[in-house]
Amino acid sequence: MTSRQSILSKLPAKATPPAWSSQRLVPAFVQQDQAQLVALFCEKVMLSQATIETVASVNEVPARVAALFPNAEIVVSDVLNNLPWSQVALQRVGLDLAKDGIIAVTDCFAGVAETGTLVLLSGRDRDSRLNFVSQTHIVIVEASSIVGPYEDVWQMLRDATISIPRAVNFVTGPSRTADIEQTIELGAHGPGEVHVIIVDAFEHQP
Amino acid sequence: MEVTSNQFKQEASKALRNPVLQKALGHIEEGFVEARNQAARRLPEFEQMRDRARDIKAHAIDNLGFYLSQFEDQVIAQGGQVHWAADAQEAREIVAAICLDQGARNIAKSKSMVTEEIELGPYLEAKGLASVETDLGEYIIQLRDEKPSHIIAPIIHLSKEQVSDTFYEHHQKHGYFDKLTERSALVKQARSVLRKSFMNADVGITGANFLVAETGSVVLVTNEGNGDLVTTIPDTHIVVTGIEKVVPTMDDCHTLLRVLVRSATGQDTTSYVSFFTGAKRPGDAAGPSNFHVVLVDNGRSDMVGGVNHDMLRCIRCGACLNHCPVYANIGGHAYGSVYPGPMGAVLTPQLAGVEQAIDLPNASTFCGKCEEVCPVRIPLPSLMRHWREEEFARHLTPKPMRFGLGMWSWLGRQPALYRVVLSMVQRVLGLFAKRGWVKHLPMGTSWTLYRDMKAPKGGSFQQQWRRR
Repeated sequence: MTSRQSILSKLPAKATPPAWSSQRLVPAFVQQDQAQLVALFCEKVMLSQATIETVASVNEVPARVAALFPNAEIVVSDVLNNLPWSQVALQRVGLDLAKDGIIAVTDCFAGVAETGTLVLLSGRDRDSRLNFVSQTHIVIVEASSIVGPYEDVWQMLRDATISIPRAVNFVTGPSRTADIEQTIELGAHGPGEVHVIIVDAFEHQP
Repeated sequence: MEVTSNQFKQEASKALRNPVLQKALGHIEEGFVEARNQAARRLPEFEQMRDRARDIKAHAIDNLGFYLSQFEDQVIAQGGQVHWAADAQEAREIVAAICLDQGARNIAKSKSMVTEEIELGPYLEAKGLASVETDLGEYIIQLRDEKPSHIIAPIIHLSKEQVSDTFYEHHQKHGYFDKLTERSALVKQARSVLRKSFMNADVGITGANFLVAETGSVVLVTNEGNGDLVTTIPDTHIVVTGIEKVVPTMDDCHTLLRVLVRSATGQDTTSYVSFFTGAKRPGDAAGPSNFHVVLVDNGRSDMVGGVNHDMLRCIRCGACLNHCPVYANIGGHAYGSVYPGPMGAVLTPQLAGVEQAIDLPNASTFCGKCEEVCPVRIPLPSLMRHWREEEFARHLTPKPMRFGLGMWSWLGRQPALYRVVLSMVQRVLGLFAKRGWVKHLPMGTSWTLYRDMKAPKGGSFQQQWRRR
């Protein structure tokens, strides 16, 4: 008998699907209209020690990044290639894992107002490593993609008929550790700074 | 599971006399207890969520075979592989075989209690497969050749100065010769040293906080981001986890995440909650081509339907440790097990054998705080009481204690004599009292060494009741 068989033989309900209703139980404070959810999201992003700003069009993003980090070297996610990067004073570079202090710009699939959480997907043009090796992570969030509770993110994926990607990263604020004397320090291994740019209009590319 | 829990009493005494440890344990109250209270208060539905969390885990455990099979099917459908390990040895062999098969030279690990339980690190090292712990606390533990003293805060027993000494000793080979005094500088230096481990890793090993049956997803909850680095850079990701971690759906998982994080660190959420589903898809920009999940039983299936069935609900948040007056005074190492505190007092006798851990279920005042804060409402005091009964029944209790308990139970059945003896004891205790407190007792120094006893006043309960 294999270990699989011997373990399963000791466990109840081997084959029949159990009756189970996954009733949703979400906090009341996230059940609001879209405008209120965007406001709540902004408030929670700031609580998570990330910074936030809003722009009207996604085409303004390169200029905003250049204003924050003039003439800096930045790593931009391939999915954002068609933004007007060449028109601003920035230097786009490839990802060098050996380098710390990377500034990375990525998109995100959804924002979760409940805790100011950014939901990032892996994919063909989305290198998940950018979310974690950078020192400064700039994330573009489409206002209409902001939802109340986490559960809505999975519904959005189903509605968009996107099959689940290898990695779905829920990111809330900068990397942190309280291992030494239970005192929080930011920038443990992941980004020490997270900057969120909310875009009112965004051509979303699934 | 190797434990040294039979030295509990000596180790607990040492811990109480260790001023550095005592100071370090002082951070628990503000860092964990107060933080958890505030987080619970911020969410009006918290108690309702706990009920739901309890029900989800109970349902999943009652149908564990079904959900594990469903999880397995989904992982395979997404290009991953699932391995089943009956015990620690089999789990270690599976992981080592995957690493050897991949020709692994550099293995990066993120924090996992199951890998501590099965002692994976030393086994891999003996096979020439050295692994680097990348969680800051676990990394420091590894450098110091110690064991974690808390299931979510592994170096809660250490001071900043001790961490500084450790880095000064071990980081010179990385070109760092200054002794650091600031916490932020220590964190920064570890970041820079460990960055190379992430970059060069060909295998990443993690645990899992939850497994989601409907999608085959592995859920990892971290604050540092190391868990995501070891699962995104190397070409192979191995998940080592217990069979009790599976939940039916994503919605269920989020309910559990809400109570887990609030109970553990007092945050509303951690910086990173990641869902990993299978291997890198064709064309993906990054991610591991090989995705393995090792489902570890190691005594868990024996708990199904038994007296410790409810313990399978445990989501390893550490709240019972943080709120336990015993843990808060002696720390985790005295327990001699990777699972300390109230959850460890239930789990260690189960996994290592009750004769290996007789003292642990007795190291409780039964104040009930652990059950009060447990996010999945495990009746921890009842489960510890069960072990005490088991010890007595199996004659594992020390002779003097057994004699004392026997006398007590005999006396309790002689009401008249009981009342006489009780009033005598009260009077004798009164003789040792000074200003209302008993600070020294000739036969009870093990009690009075660390605490004073209120002198008896006003007669026994029964006498006072009769006077009403």
